Amino acid sequence: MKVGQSNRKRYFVLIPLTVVFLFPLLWVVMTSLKTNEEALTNPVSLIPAVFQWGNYPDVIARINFFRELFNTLVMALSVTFGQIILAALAGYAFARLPFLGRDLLFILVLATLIIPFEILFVPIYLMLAGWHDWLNTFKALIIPSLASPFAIFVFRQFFITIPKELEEAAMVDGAGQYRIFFSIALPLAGSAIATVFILTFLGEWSNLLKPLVFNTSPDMYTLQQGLAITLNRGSNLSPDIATTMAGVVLTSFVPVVMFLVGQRYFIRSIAASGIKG
Amino acid sequence: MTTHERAAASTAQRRRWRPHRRELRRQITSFSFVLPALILMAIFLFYPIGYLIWLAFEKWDLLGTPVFVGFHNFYNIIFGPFSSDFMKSVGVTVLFVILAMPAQVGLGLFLAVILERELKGKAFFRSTFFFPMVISFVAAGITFKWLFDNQLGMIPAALASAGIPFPNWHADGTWGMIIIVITNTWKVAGFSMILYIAGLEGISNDLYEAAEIDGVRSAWQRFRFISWPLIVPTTALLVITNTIGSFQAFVPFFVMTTGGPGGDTTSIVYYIYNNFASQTGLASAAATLFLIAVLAITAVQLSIARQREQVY
Repeated sequence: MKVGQSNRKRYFVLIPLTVVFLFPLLWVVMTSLKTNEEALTNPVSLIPAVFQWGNYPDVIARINFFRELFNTLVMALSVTFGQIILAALAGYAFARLPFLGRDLLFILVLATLIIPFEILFVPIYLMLAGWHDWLNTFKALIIPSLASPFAIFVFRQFFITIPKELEEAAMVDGAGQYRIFFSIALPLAGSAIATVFILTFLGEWSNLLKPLVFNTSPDMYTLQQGLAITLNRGSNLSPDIATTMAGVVLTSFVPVVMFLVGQRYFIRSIAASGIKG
Repeated sequence: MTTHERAAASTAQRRRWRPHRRELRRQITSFSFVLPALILMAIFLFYPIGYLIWLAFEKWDLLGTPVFVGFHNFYNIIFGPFSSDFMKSVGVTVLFVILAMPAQVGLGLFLAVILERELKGKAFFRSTFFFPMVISFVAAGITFKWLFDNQLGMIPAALASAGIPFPNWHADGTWGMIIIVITNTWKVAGFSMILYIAGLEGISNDLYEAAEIDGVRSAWQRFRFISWPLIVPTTALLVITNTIGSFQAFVPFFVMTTGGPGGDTTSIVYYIYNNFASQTGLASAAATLFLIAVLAITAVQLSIARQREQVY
């Protein structure tokens, strides 16, 4: 009886909060199905007078959607896989392979964990501008992001926890360090790989500042640039809210589907990112 | 002999001591695991830090050659002719941190506490509150910008038809900031919620049962005397990460208000972004101060967190 009552109280708080959290999402989808005229003239109604999909082909043409989707996927997937392999190797060595100066190097990696791209984009931009043909290329979007102190830390924390016996048995059999890593340690690291994959992919997909600074050519625009520059800036001149909201839906589609499919992993990864401290 | 000493010895004497060759090779193989990551970090992390600090002492507009000007850039943005813009961006950023950090950590804690114990639909509620974390800040910012638009947005329009005026937040910097904080809270509170849920789930049920025997009855008492002290490390972590995260805010300002009106919502990163091409030295001096501030915040908060942990 007591439990039931306190649960009812909790629903009393949770349901309004759920409405508040879901309402903006519902509004985006509904607005994207209105005509621009309806969105302008009748902002109060949530439900479109006529459900129509015309804004979606419009926005695909307006922001060169498939080109930008391709750019975004190449950038996000390359950075993600690159980070996973580099960080798995480094994290494994920091956890398991003793070498001269290892602990000092690891402290150095940890110290850079909190230094964000937001601070370093000016010197990195100048470096890339000074190198021939780097700005407006995938090189600029991918290579500076490949080594991630955070990913190294995630892998190191993981490899510390796996039992040493497996590797020791392989060592007795005469396997080299690389063979032990690839055939024994890495196959066990599924949870660390999933964590880095989710956090890095999501971060790269959503990143605006990096493409904004390194890309000036619309050919290289990522979806976030298409959304923030072409659609958002454009809509200040002639407000076509419905088309813009169709853009919001389309550019969020991939991460949202990933989340709906792998909710458990997403939530676990975010919880794991707390081990930063 | 430790491994390190043995390694050093083997490096020095590898010609005379043949058996140590194997150890040397082991060292080299081990080191080769970290080498690719290390080279990239050296080029794109350590070198840029040095380059940034060097730039902060130069006058440069990217066209001519840089000229060494000592502390002039720092003087200029703090006291001199360019101080009004930079110091304003510092004020904007500090205000944003003061409003946004407690809002997102507080809401995250509140959501986690309601969702902590068994509840029908718990997974649904958790996913709902977490969901905005998945979409980009660009998408969230544009959504709220139009949702709250004074002429065309649903919320001001709905309030107007009920006779309630909505502040013109594009013309009023304070209201602009409030709308951005609301957007930010909606977008990121799920992060704090997930970490708090993990922290609360780590508390043993025995503690609550023992406390009940000792007279801890109400939900508030349970929270105040058991949960709260035990999740102090989570709170400390969230205060640090969210302070630093809010400190770096750029995208919501960029898409929602473009820094206006009159720089009222131009954060430090936005200031750096606006100036880096035309006044590289000033932007670099700003970024250098920003770097020092981030390091200082981390150091201070870590030491406070450690002290508080000892108190409880």
